[in-house]
Amino acid sequence: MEPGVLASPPPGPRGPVPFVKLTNQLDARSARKRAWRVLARLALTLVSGGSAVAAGGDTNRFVVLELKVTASEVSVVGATEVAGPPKPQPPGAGINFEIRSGDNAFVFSGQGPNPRVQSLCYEHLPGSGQMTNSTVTLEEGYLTLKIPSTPLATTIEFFESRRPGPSLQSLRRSLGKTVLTRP
Amino acid sequence: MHARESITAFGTKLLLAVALLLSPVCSWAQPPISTVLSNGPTGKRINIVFLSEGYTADELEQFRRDATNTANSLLTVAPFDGYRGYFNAYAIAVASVESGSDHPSTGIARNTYFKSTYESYGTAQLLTIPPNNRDSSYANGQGKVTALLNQFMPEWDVVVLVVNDTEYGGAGGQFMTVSKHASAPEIARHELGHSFAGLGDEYSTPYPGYPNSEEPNTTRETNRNAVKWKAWIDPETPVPTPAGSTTAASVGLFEGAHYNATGWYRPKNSCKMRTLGTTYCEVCQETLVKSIYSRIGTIQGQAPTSLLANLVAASSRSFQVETPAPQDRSLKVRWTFNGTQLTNTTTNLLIGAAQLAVGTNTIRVDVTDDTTMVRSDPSDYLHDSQTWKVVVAPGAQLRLLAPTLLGDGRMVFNVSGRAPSGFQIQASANFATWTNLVSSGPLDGSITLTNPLLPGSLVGFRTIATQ
Repeated sequence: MEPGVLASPPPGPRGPVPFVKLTNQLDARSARKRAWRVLARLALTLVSGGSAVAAGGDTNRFVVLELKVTASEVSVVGATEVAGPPKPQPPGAGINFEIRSGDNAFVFSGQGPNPRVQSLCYEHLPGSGQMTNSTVTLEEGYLTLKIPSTPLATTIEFFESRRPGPSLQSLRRSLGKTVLTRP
Repeated sequence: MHARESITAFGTKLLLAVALLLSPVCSWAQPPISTVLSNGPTGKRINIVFLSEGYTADELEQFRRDATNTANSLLTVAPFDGYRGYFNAYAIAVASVESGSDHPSTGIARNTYFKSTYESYGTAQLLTIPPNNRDSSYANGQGKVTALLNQFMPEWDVVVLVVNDTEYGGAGGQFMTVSKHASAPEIARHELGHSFAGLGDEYSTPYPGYPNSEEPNTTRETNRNAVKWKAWIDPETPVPTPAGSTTAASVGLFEGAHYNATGWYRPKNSCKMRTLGTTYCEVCQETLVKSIYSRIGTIQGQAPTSLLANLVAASSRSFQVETPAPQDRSLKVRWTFNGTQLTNTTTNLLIGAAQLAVGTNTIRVDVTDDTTMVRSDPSDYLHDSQTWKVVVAPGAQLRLLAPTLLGDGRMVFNVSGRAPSGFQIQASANFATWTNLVSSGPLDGSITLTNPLLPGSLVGFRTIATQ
């Protein structure tokens, strides 16, 4: 066993973690890079007792969305609010999403890999190092995304975006819009 | 459910949780999650989660060892080895009724927790869980993964299913699968390049219909000054770069990438994104490091937490930032006080009373990873900054007004003016021993006081600031 590798007891049930404002107060440029944290702080500022999150006094949460993705649309098949500090999402290609507020103001955006593309890179002959791949494009696939838990979020739109050439503008193809509501 | 329908997005999804709890193959004799690698709070680290597939209850200890070995395997190659402390790893152990995985062509069918199978979609090596071409039920495979993650480690960043089968195989994507074949760790590292950093394949095996979008390590650009990794190309290296012994160690523009033998280029002749058993090239390492910092910042906490402090003259104040640390060095810390860079390069700073001027003072800290593995960082992933404003008010300015002697030797009087929190008003009959009359604040107005009886005659009052 290498240094740093522990055979420690399990962490056990995960209770609420105190909301840490520290990383939400970075300088503007740093804060822009930390969109998740900004959103979390925004929620902390604006939530005032009207929602389940605020009532519990715990804004240190995010929502796990389970999505079904087809060629023409993305639909939500499950949504679970979980504890934990929201973390930033690295940019990348795949299924993009954009969250907007009731007055259509931008709230948050992110992306996840396209689950309809099922692939594996492997060696022609195991051990040879020379690679090939097997890729299947499915009619439908499932994707899990994490979005901020904030009452500001009222709609989420899914879309594909790709840049057909180095100097060409990105093409955006909508995959549907879903209304986010709270019980 | 149609996307345009209104949904209850913040409700609790019970179906999978119930299915999970009722599953006859769960073994809860030991808590299912254990720590494999611990380097900090989950909110401040990148969390790798391993799940067991095809391990019976008796084999779960072996799974934990396999998870540990896989974690070590992933984190012992550059650049991950230098950032090992940025990662946590956990193992979620769920028992299967039978060992291994399905091999449909040979009639092998195993009763396993996530119902994994080789030969998915007609490819022998493609090892997947449902929904797939053999089982269309999301709840039988990926749904179980998500339910377990929600329950035990919702802050996952990388998810790997370790399949207890020695046949060569695996799958990429959001939830990777790896088998126990000897080559599996190397495939996992390659797939991690895709899923963690969005790296593209650099090999040339055709993939008809694959989108033409460039990745950080692939391009069709042949203009040296426009190549996205130009910072790594030495002036004497020809562009495009011919493959050969003289350029084998160089970063350049090598033709053949993105499933095309011509017209697409890669940064180096050899790289893990092209050939297994080699290292990640410089450009891929740079992308991976930036991907690490896109998830966790260089400043992870600060003190004081308030960015605006009100002090009075003659006060000092300390500042502190919490930073992650690569294995072999510290991040570069630079403090600036009122626009002047300080010599302090630690994570703690004490500004003395003599330095803080009356008025607004600005303290800024910049934390940067100046690793040589990154030469271009236009998104500034490797740098964060924090600024505090410290407003210093003048010292106490108090006046004693309308003193009136009482018959018992005491005095009632009025104190008017401004004083900060912590100021004191004291009385003395001998200028040597002073008795507190007031120790509170801040004061902005007036208060009426009566001194206690002092031995001897009352001779004086004074105010002092205690901060």
